[in-house]
Amino acid sequence: MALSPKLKKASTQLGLPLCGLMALCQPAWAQNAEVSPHTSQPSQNFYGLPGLIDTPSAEALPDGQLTITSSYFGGTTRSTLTFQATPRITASFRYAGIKDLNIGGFVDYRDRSFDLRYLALKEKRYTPAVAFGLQDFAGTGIYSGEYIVATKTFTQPLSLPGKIKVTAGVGWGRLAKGGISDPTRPTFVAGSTGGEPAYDAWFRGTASPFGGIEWQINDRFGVKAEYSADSYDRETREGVFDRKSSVNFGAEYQYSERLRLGAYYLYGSEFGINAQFQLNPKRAITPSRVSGPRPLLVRPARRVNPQAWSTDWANSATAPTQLRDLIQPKLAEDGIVLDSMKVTANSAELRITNTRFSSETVAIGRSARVMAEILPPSVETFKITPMNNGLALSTVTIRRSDLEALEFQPQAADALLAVSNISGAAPNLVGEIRPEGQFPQLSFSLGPYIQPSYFDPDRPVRADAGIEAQFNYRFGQGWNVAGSLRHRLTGNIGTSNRLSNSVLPRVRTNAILYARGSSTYIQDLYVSKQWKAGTNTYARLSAGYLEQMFGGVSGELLWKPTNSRLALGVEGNYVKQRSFDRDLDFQSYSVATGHVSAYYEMNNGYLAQLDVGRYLAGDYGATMTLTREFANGWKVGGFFTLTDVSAADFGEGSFDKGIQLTVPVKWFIGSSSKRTNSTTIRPIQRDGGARLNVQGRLYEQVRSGHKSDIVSDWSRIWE
Amino acid sequence: MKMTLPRLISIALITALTACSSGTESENTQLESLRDLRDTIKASRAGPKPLPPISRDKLNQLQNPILKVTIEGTGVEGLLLQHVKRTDASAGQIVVWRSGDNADVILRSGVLIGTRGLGNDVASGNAAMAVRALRNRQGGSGQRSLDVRNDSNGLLRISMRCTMRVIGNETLSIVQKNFATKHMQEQCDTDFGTVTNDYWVDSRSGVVIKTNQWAGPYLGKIGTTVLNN
Repeated sequence: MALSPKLKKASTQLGLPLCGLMALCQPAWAQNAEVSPHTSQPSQNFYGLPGLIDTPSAEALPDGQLTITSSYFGGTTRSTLTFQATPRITASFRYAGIKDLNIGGFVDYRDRSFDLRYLALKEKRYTPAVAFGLQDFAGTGIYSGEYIVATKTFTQPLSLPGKIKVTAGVGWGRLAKGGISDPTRPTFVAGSTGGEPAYDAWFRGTASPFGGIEWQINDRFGVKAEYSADSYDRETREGVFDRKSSVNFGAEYQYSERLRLGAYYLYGSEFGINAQFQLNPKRAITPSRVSGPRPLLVRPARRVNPQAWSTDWANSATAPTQLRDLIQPKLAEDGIVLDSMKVTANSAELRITNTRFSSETVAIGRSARVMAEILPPSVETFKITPMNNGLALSTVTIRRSDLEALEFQPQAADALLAVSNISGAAPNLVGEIRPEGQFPQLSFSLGPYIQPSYFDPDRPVRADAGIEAQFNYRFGQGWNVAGSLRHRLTGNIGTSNRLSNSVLPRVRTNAILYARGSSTYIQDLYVSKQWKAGTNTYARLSAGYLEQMFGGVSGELLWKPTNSRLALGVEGNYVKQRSFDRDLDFQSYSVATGHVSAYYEMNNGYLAQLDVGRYLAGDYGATMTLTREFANGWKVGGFFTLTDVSAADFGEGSFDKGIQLTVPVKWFIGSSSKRTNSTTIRPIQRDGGARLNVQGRLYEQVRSGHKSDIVSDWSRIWE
Repeated sequence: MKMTLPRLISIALITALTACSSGTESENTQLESLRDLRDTIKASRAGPKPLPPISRDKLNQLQNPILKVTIEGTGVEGLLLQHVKRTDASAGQIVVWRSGDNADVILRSGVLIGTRGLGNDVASGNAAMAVRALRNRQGGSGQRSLDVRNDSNGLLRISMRCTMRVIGNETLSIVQKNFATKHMQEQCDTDFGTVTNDYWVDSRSGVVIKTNQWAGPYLGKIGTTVLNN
């Protein structure tokens, strides 16, 4: 909110504009591990995991760390996304390309692989860290290997500056002599469907030692030397590079807090480079900054001004509308839309939609300040109900006298939480008044879009780009008509000649044919209605062109009490495949698909989701999703789907799986924003285990206003 | 149609420049994200603005007190106006000072108990011991605390074991006017090492007119000077 007129006048009197503090404040990072992390984060190897050069170490990344590395040597490029999912579990997804390695009919071999590492023992004063790792445990297996490794850190040993880390381990498969062609180990089959965990091969075959030393000379420079047993026999046999030595060397430079660069000499014949980019969702690029709130006005003491506390005003029939007309514009200054309100002599409830703040808690705090400013002193109980397009999410009840007493007290947020209440919201507010002209609400936008497509063996990254027009038209409580029209200006997804070879109904693998269809197309166009069927039950119906490949009808029911960690849902859809031109026409394929779902919020920000039902290709099965959610909006998750489709019928990858990433825009820009960017990365998209992408699923719509989210952000209630 | 990078960039630019949106909802689109990024880059390029020159004459004309604030870590300076003045059940006068772009510095009898709009803000603080010592202009010791906002919507709770002592009488010159003050210094042991806060108390009025206080590991030190009181 802006300065009061009085303050504006004062600043004009000064003859000078008031200078701002907010625009340019960047944190002054103190030298402490909590706020200055790069000195405590391990460096990474060519596989994108903490390690030396081509071998792993036993170190874990700081909890929650997300890294992207890209390395190159001897015709081999590896790009890896790594996530420290828990303090002990490190998970990686890798895309590798090996130039001139012709196996399985590819000129250049390209492959995706997953790694897992478990930190069994943390480093102690006298004992090293010990970790177990599985490398490429579910791909087609070119990098498959397992290891047990120990790492010990010595600070300023032998009066040397910096830190020295000594690593030693035992490896199997790729990390041992003989590698993946080891005859005593189940063999690697290039071009097989892959994708399934190769339990039978783990920790089997020849074992070889590996190890090395990393000397972190100071905050910027480090050097590494290692012994690697990886014989690279496939690559050397095909002439990708010559392996003349088992010893590798390298030097690394910490360019910035998040970026580390390295140059190396590997296997006695090749120069290599490695770029390591590390970030932590818990530490924003730009710290969140929200303008100071309006002052919380304190009522005159009752004994000083008893008349002000009179309840006579409540007898006036026009009082509620007058108060509404005062409250509504004040809320609007903070991007809060008044949905409805009810006021009596002693209590008031506001139902609000927050359009600005990433956290509902901020909107609740600001609404309470508006209530304190406008409502007569006799109104002691404030109820605030965050809404999402017609759905009342929960009701926060705060005593006005607590607000007045606690704002500037030590630990003010905890103190207020202890005396406030968060409960389920009734579907409708009995005796409510609504703003005039509330509906219809129209929003539209016109702008560019980019649609990427990954992992085509001929060209790993493809994309289409063009302009997109979107609109939303809300013509009543919970009603929405929405759509988007796209015009493709350029792109190369359609130029791929890898058309579907699927033996299942081609519900997802026709993406290339869609990209070759009309350049102007309807991305989606549908009408939906959502409402609360009870205090804890939510419902949705949608019909139309629900997503880019399917149209039809969709219905959903969700049970989720505000205070419950568990939610249960059921969704049913009848859909028909859309034409490749994505106009109003359909193809002949139709399917009834649906799921029952269970969602469970675990401690420490993990969300587990299980969906059981029938998928788009008519296959029956279940999807398991595990997501780590950070309070600031970051989400990193993984999922897999097993259905009654056999691995052979599914095709490459054997079953559907992938990674989901959600990044809040606010994390980069600092200022208030509800916007997020979400991506799903699948190693390969096939037709088995495919779900309909209907918009407006209920669970994500209701959670941000439920107790656990409100409480986890409660420190922002005074913001 | 073959896509080249320059072609893609020029199309993105053209469409971004001609893009528009309207309505009651904040759209979650690629366009909006691009816009936010552009605004952030613009803001970071602008660099800190120097404070305009201030004269005692101008200050004398003002009805409203002005607080000069310096964020030590970044050298950013600002002039803040008194926005709210009140008391509550704890000792000390609370003043919320606000900048032109709605950032707040909140002091309880001169002792920092909050900031808003700076990023990694001080959410709340326990100032009781320092307020008492400054009011009596005598040494003292006790437990204090600061709650500092982290980047994941949580708090970093910093407990501080503090001792206040009197350094001595000093004359401060603030915008062409001299003030006789008592300089007091507080040392606090925290998980982030020992931090020092300095306070200068006006000998005549008893008002804390200048301070330099630690605002947690992210913001570092914040300097405050009341220019007219």
